[in-house]
Amino acid sequence: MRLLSIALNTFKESIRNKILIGVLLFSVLIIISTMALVQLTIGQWMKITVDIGMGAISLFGNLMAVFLGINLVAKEIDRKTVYTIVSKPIKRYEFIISKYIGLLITIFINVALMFVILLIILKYYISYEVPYIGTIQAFYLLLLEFMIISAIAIFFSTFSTPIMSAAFSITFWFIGHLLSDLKFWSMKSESEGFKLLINTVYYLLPDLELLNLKSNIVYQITVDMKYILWVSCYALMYSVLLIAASIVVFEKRDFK
Amino acid sequence: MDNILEIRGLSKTFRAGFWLRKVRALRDVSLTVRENEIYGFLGPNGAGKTTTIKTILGLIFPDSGKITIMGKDYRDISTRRYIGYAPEQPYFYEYLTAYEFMKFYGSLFSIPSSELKRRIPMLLDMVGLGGKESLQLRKFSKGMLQRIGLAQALINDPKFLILDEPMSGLDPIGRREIRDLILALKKSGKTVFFSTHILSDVEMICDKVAIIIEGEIRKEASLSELLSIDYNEVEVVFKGGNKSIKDDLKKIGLLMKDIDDTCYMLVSKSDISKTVDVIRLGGGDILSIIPKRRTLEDIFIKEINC
Ligand SMILES: Nc1ncnc2c1ncn2[C@@H]1O[C@H](COP(=O)(O)OP(=O)(O)OP(=O)(O)O)[C@@H](O)[C@H]1O
Ligand SMILES: [Mg+2]
Repeated sequence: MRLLSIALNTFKESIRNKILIGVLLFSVLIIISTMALVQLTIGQWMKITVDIGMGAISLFGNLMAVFLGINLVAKEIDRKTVYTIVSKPIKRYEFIISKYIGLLITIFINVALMFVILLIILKYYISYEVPYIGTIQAFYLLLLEFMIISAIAIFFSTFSTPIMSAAFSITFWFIGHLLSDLKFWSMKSESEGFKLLINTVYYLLPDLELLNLKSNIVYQITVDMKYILWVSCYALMYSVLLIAASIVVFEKRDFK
Repeated sequence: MDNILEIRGLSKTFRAGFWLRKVRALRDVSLTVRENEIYGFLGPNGAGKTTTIKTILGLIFPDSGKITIMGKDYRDISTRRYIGYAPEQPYFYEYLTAYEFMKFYGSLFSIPSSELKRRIPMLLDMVGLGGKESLQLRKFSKGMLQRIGLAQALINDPKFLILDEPMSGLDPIGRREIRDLILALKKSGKTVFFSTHILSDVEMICDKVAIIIEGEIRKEASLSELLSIDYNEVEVVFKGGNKSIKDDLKKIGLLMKDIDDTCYMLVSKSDISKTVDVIRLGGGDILSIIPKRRTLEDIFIKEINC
C-alpha cells in the first residue's frame, strides 16, 4: 500500500507534467500520417502502417524509459523530495522499486493507448484482419524491452549525471539491437580473439533483437508460448539484476 | 525513556570539489534532547545544522558516532513512525494539490483514508493553509511551501518533530504563528528540535539551546541557565539626592543616563551594597535594582569570535 502510493505518485507526476501528453499526440500524428500515404495496394499500406506504428510505439516507449528513467531518482534527489520520503518508515530499496514500478505503469499506459489506436486504424480504416495473437505477442515483447531499458536508465542515473546516463542508456540500447548481427558476423571472422570478445559481450548484455517480433504481425506468424516464457525470464533477469545493482549503489549514497 | 534523542561523538567529512578536498562538517557532536522539550539548535550559516539533522534521519551517513532515538538505534526504521521532519527550503511534488500531497505522505504511514479525511483539513488549518486544499503546489509561494512542509511533518501525529529552519521565508506574522504552533505542540506533549540562526526565535520559545559553530557544539544548556550564568552587572535606578552623590557614584560604576531626576547606573554585582549606601546617605530614592542579563546575542557573538 505504501509502496503502491509511491508508484502511483510517480505516474501522476509524469501524467500531469504535460510532456507526456505531447509525446502521445506526436505519436498519434505519426500513425495518422501513414494513413495519408496514397496510392498503395492494401498489402503495402498495411505493412507500412504496421511498421511505422510499431516503430513509433517502440521509439516512444524507449524514449520514455530513458528520459523518465534517468530523471526518476535524480529529480527526487535534486528537488529534495527524497528527503521527506526516505525519512519516513520507507526503506531505500522500497523507494527504488516503487519508483521503477511507477515508471513501468506510466510507460505501459501510454504505449497501450498508442497500441489500441494502431489496432483500430488497422482494423477499421485499412480493414486488415489483425492476427491478434501475433500482434499481442509483438507488443508484449516490446514491453519487455521497455522494462530492461527503464532499469538500465535507473541504474546509470544512480551514479552519473542525467546527460551521461542518457548517453549510456542509448548506447546500451543500440548495442542491444546490434548484438545478434555482431555475433553473426563474428562467426565468419578469422580472429579467435574477436570471436571470444563478441561472444562474451553477447552473453553479458541483453540481445534486444530477441524481443523484436514486429514483422510477425505482417506475416501473420505467431511464436510458441515457450519462447514467450523464455524471453520473459530473460528480460526479467536483466531487469532484476540492474535494479538490484541500482539499490546497492543507492543504499550507500549520501543525499546532499 | 525521557531522552528522545541522544547524539554522541558524531563526525562527518564531506569530499567536495574536483580534488575531493575534505570538508569537516561535523566534529564530535554530542547533544541530548529530553522528552517534551523545545530544543533550539542555533548556529550561523554553514555551521552544520542541516548536516546533523540529515544524519539523524539517515539521509547521510556519519564517519563515526552514535545516534539513539527513543532508546533505539537511529537506523532502526521503526523509530521513524514517531518522527516528523520538515526539511529546509522544501521543494515538493509540484503537480499535486495540497490535499493530494498530504494524502500521499499519509499513505506512506499507512494511515487509513477515513482518518486522513479528518486529519488533513485540520493540519492545513493549523499551519494557516485552510481553504487551499485543491491548489497545486507549483502555485504556492515560498512561505506557503514552508507551511505545508510543516503540515506534512505532522501527518503521522509524531512524538518528536525535527524542523530544519521552520521559520525561514516567513513574514513576521508567519514567524509568530509558527512559534505559537511549536508552543502548542509542546503543550500537547510533543518534543520539538529545530534549527535556526535567528536568536529571537530561540529566546522566545526554547527550553534548551545548543550552539553549533564550524561543526562543533560550543555550548549546550537550558535557556535560563545560559542567560543567567555569570551575570556580573546590575542596573540601579534612583531618584533625587544631593549633587555630590553622582560624583561619588562615578567612582563606583558607570552613570548611564540622567533623565529628569531619574538616574540609571550600571555597577558590578560586588558593588551593589556600596552603591546603595552612597545613594541613601545622599538622600536619594532607589527605584529598582535589576540584574543585567546577557542576551543570547552576546553569548552567540562571543562564541563566534573565540
Ligand atoms: N554536499 C556537500 N558537499 C560538501 N560540503 C558540504 C555538503 N553539504 C554541506 N557541506 C559543508 O558542511 C558544512 C555544514 O553545512 P550545513 O548545510 O550543515 O550548514 P547549516 O548549519 O545547515 O547552514 P545554513 O544555516 O546555511 O543552512 C558547510 O561547511 C558546508 O560547506
Ligand atoms: Mg541548513
